[in-house]
Amino acid sequence: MDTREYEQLLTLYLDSVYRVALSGCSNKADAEDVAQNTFIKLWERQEPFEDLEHARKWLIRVAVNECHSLWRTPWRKRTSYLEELASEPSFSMKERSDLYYAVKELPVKYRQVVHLYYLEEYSVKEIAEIMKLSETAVQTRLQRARQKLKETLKGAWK
Amino acid sequence: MNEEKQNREYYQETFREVHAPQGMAERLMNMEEGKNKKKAGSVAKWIAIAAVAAVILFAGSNGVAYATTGSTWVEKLFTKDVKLVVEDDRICIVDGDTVIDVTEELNNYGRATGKYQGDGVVMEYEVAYNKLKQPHLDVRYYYEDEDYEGTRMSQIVFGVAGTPTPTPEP
Repeated sequence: MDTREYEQLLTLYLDSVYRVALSGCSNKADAEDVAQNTFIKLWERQEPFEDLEHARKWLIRVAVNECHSLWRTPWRKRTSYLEELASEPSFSMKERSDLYYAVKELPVKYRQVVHLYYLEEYSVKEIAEIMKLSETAVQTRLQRARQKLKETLKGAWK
Repeated sequence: MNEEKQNREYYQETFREVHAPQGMAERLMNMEEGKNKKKAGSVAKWIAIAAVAAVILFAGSNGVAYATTGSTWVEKLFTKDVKLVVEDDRICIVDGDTVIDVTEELNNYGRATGKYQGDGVVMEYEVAYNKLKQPHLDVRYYYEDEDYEGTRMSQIVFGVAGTPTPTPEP
């Protein structure tokens, strides 16, 4: 990967990768680690991308895998993140803040599916490919996540 | 379906307010530069390690050869039995079975330079033989390169300073 292409992809997709990482980690420090590892892998990649969409999909897949690797690490599972409360993002509207915390309360396995579906706008089939799940599993997680958000956010989530 | 669209917009509006921490892009950019430097440093490190290993191998193997045979393998490789022989007022270079008489080639200063075409190898010699200085012979060998027009001295085989055989007393 040459520097120019790396810079371009970093500029375009850092936020997306970070958000995916956050959905898979739910704390800032781990999300930063995941984003950093993802971009290291991007820099080390030798094969060219077909187009920007291919690059985006690849980055998101790597970020998802990095999140899974992080959760598999035993010491990570036992770590608590009280310090994270001080560094949560601030939102321009209360409803958005409500949604952010409602999503954050979802189990990670639901959160990632919701995030890829609603923000990254991937189809169920694409999410199944990215997360190496069956389409049925993705559909089930999506359905349960929707239900939980509906319960938490009352009328704000339809 | 319309509700799903509303949910999607709500979700997107919310999470588009979440950005990577300030300075992260710069850090990742610097990390990329750092990796370049690290790669260069890593290559230099491996070259240094290889050089040290080569020196140790060279010195070690010569040491072992010297301990077992009394001479180093470098000595064996680069020393050839070529001599300057002075006999019956004739000055000759003796290289194995080859004898080159250079007596007539010596100039007023007792020096002679020339080439001898061997079998695929060219020997270039320089002889110094006069009463004032210690007789001296320098020899260089080259492989012939037939791809080149004329004789190209493509590879130095070795150089040697020969010690002349003393003229036998009558």
